Amino acid sequence: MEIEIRNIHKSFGAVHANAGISLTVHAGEILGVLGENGAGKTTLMKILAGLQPCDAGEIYVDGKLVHFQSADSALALGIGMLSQDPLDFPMLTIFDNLYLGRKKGFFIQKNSFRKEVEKVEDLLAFHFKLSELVGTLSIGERQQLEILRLLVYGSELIILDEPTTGISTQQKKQLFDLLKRLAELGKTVIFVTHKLAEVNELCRRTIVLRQGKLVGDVALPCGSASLIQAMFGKAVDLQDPLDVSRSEEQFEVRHLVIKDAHFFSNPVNLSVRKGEILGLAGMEGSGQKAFLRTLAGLEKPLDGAFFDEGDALRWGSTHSFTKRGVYFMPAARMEEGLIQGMTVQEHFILSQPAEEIMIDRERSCRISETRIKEFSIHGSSSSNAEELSGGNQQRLLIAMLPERARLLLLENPTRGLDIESTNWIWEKLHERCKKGASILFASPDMEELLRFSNRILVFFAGKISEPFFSRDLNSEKLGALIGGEGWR
Amino acid sequence: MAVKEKKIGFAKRLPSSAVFSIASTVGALLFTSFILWMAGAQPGLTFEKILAGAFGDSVKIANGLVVWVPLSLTAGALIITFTAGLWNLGIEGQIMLGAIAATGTLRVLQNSLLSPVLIILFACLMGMVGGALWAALTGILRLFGGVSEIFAGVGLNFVATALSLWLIFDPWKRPGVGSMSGTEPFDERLWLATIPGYRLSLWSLVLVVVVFIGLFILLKKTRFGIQIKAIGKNLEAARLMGIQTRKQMMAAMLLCGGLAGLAGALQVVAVYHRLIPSISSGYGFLAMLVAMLANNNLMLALLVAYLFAILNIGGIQLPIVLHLDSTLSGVLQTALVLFFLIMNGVKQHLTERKERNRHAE
Amino acid sequence: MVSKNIKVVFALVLVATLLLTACAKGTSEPAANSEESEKFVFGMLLVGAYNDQGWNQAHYEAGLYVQDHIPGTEMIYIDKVNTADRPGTTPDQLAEELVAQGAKLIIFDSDDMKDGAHAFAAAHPDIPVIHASGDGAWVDGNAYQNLPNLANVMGRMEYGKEIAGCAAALSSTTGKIGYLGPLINEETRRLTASAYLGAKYCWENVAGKDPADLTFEVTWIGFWSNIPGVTLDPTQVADDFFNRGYDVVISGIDTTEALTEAQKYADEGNTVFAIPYDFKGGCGQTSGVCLGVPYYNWGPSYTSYVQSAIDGNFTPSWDYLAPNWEDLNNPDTSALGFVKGDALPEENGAKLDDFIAELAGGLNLWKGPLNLQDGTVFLAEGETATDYQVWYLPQLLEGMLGLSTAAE
Repeated sequence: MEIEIRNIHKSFGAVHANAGISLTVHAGEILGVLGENGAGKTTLMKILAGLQPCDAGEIYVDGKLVHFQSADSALALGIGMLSQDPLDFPMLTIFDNLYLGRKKGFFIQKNSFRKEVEKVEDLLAFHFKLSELVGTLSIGERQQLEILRLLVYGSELIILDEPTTGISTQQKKQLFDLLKRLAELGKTVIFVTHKLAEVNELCRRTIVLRQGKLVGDVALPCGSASLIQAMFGKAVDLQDPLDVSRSEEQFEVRHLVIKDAHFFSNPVNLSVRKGEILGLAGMEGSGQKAFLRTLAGLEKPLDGAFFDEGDALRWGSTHSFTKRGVYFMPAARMEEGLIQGMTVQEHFILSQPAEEIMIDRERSCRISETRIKEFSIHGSSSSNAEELSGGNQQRLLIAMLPERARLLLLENPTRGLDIESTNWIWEKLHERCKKGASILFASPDMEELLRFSNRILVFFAGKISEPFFSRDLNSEKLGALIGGEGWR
Repeated sequence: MAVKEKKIGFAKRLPSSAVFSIASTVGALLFTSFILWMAGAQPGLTFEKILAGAFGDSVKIANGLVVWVPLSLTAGALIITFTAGLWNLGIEGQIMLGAIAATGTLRVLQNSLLSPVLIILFACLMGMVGGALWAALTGILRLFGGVSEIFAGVGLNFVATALSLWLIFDPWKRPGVGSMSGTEPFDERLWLATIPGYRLSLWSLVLVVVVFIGLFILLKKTRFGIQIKAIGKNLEAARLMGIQTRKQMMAAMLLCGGLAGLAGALQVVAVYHRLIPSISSGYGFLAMLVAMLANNNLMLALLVAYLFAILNIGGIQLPIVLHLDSTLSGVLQTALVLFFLIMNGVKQHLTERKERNRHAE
Repeated sequence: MVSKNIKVVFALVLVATLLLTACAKGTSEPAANSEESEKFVFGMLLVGAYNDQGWNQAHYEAGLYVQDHIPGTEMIYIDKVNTADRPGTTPDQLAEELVAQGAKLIIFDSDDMKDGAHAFAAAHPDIPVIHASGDGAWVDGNAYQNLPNLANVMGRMEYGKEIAGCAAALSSTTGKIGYLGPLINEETRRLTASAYLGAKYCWENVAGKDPADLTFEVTWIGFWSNIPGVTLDPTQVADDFFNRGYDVVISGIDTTEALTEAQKYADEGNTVFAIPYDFKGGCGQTSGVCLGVPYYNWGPSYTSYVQSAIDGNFTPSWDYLAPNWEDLNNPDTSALGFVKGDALPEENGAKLDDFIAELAGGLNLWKGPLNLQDGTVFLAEGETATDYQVWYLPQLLEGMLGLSTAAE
């Protein structure tokens, strides 16, 4: 299938999200779409998938002019899009979720449908327990389910919008293998991302969007510097972790046994120095989240103790942890981190520890404005949290971590952010480390772990490794550990 | 991305909330008219009679305010718990316990040498304590026993009803009488002073104003207010932000119960001057509708409470002049809430559709 | 799409508003006033439903009787005047609503409205008030109010209940008579006791049976009619009597549950009976279970009060009205009566007539020796009770089962 789009325009109020984009995508091609947050990638893809109309412009499928009324009409022509936020029914089984969207046939033909699904599953090398509830799946698994769904419904062109967010390295590898295979089968893939490495690994060609315009159409592989230049209009430099070998230990974990829904961990002994950054590596759902939540006082461990400068913290009240400056930042931004219907300013008021009864509106407004500026949040004090884009929500979360925080427990702190934003956030986190805060963070991104951590703990199926110094690791070694190889 | 939206004509904007409120009101009126028409009555005449019954003369207006006082106090109380995400269905019981505590206090002190003003004041205070303690039970069951506040509250309502009936039939019964008509009325000096010729007490009006100013400050200007708002909207996020969620939820329950108890105490000292079985007069459940219809907005709650009070008082006319059951005003009240919820759904649907069209990266 | 929806909503608002205004305007009747000024409107507050086949219907029909007998009068009323059915209101407040609708005389029909009736009468000295069953106008009574506009009316239902008790005793084979009591107060105690006295007298003297074999038990539900969740359920109480071998249930409440349940049990092949209360048509459509009904006839008394109010010479008194023994069921002269039911066989009917004749001839069952339920002497040998003693009966009588005052 060949797709041609001509001169696409789309505006939202004053913002020109797509300003005259023209592009041809060939059959059997894996096209990368690069761009920083807000560059107009998602808008363009939604137009292509019939999810929203464009203001001007034309779309040709195999040379024929088409008009999409809805995602269904696009899907009927073989264009399917994997969205950033999968929509499904958590209370239904995986099978029923797939079955619900089925178009053909009025009568229930579950058996033949099940066979179709299993055939595609074999292709994908994903294997779901079809009778499980969707609600029990992780973010990564839900995205896999989305891909499965599109393929089951016979998409010829598959658009994937940031599909690697929140899935494990192994799952990512499987996905990439699959996408390559799909391309060999003559299907077309459009792969939207802000991660250079992914584009370089997967695609032969990528386009680069910046501020709604197409600013590059590049054959791959090529050096990342020129791509970064194209994406941001300038070069980006990187931060190294602090040298903490001489700073004092401020937190200590003794014989800590955490529990997850599926397993208990081995006992962990660990001490964390001031200014140290510890990365938690592992496939999603290997216990990193439970580990962070346990240290934040949100969940009780089976055994063990947690000392803050010699004082044992007691589990039972989260407040007693936050009072000592131990803060957890969740990955699920709108579900656990931010509050829908409350403004940015209110978030700052809530997150700042204070004893006074009355709110000093003027002061809090000032603080809010300063933080918005400092953390370059695109939005105003009176914007509601849900009105911010994902990247800005993430910045808000980081900005909300109170000054007095001494231990930051971060779950995927740069989820969904582009390279520039990621680096920028780490710059901010480094400033905290310099002031003596310690950081534990989980991430699915090996590069991020290796680049920003002093030490790394690897999680595999409930087993927690001794800390490795990240300078002793590289991506091959870490990848193997994450995959369960090389454990003693 | 913060999209500063310019006003680009009618089609791009959603109608204001007022339009939806009006639409739900009209829907409710039409629905009620339909029911009236089914019952063989003239809807126009019926509504006219309700209005006449509520505003016919100054006594009627005052009677409306007599209903308005406990209704708005209770609605205000509920807004605290609704803000904190607690469905305090135990509000009826909290009103009753307030009334019981106030009656008990009056009984103990009625023969004392204290000045009546002090006795009444003390009765109101004890009413607040009684309501708050009853709410605390719900809170404890919810926060430490894991029992939904809805079930705990409803259960405690039954207990409160049984308790007041037992008191009326047994320890506090009128001499030689076993009737649900209530306890012996208190001496007139223990009645909250009313405007001569009316049932309305200025003091209770003043109280409503003071309480609502206090509530406004509490909910909008204090850390507590914003914290319970956060708790109500996202308990998990609030906990992660270091808010003491249990403590603040308990505080919300106590405050709500205290105000409901005050409403109950006022029913005793200002309206009935004794304990009767249905002392809460169903104001708790009515106030729940008020708070929902007002969308937890304090000013709106005062207005909606007044509207409901008018319907209550105006509805009395219906059986006299039209031989209609006065519960028809109840139908109208419920229909209002129903249509409000429907319109809210419509609004949400439209908003979501608009969001979908708008959402850009 | 969005704009279309809004337009629809707007159109709806507009149309509805116009419609409502139009029909509100169209149906108002400005001409009604001139006619009303010539009418004498009297208001009535009924504690239960106006069509309850009992106490309240008796009052309601008395109002219709007044309308029929004094041309130019009109009744307005509010029924279900109690705190459970009309939360947030008081009887005096509702009476004012009636006044606002033009009522120039108010009838409160229940002892439960005593506080409200007195408060209203005191606050509106220009409005004649009749409080049925009350004692606020009784100079020698315990609750005398000394209000120039407050009158009381009450029939001497003691006779009616004695007749009912007698009919029950004549019909019972098990000797177990149940009394479905409302709430406990002086009025209900004396009426229940009267039923017992009538039953005991006829059991012993007419049927010639051993008094030791007679059981008379009262269960109080807590109010004049069923209020779900607040009172005991009278249906269940009646069921309970029948299940425990009681074959006659005398109703003391304003509604007809005893009769309905008796009919149900009779339809299942049991021989059970019930005696309703208050209203002449109380036996209703039942067959083979109703022994008769003692009823009030408020019409003549209300007619004379309304007439005097019209004439401007309303002089209140405490009226404790005896039946017309010459013609017990005369609608124009007797304050109470007894209608025999179809379940009373002719033979027993004749015996009951004899008993009524005895009462008419001066038989007084309220005569010593009589002890109160706790065994203290109420009336010594040969002593007859005064009105005061009967009216304010402090306990049930010895030999009756059930509570004398509220639960201890």
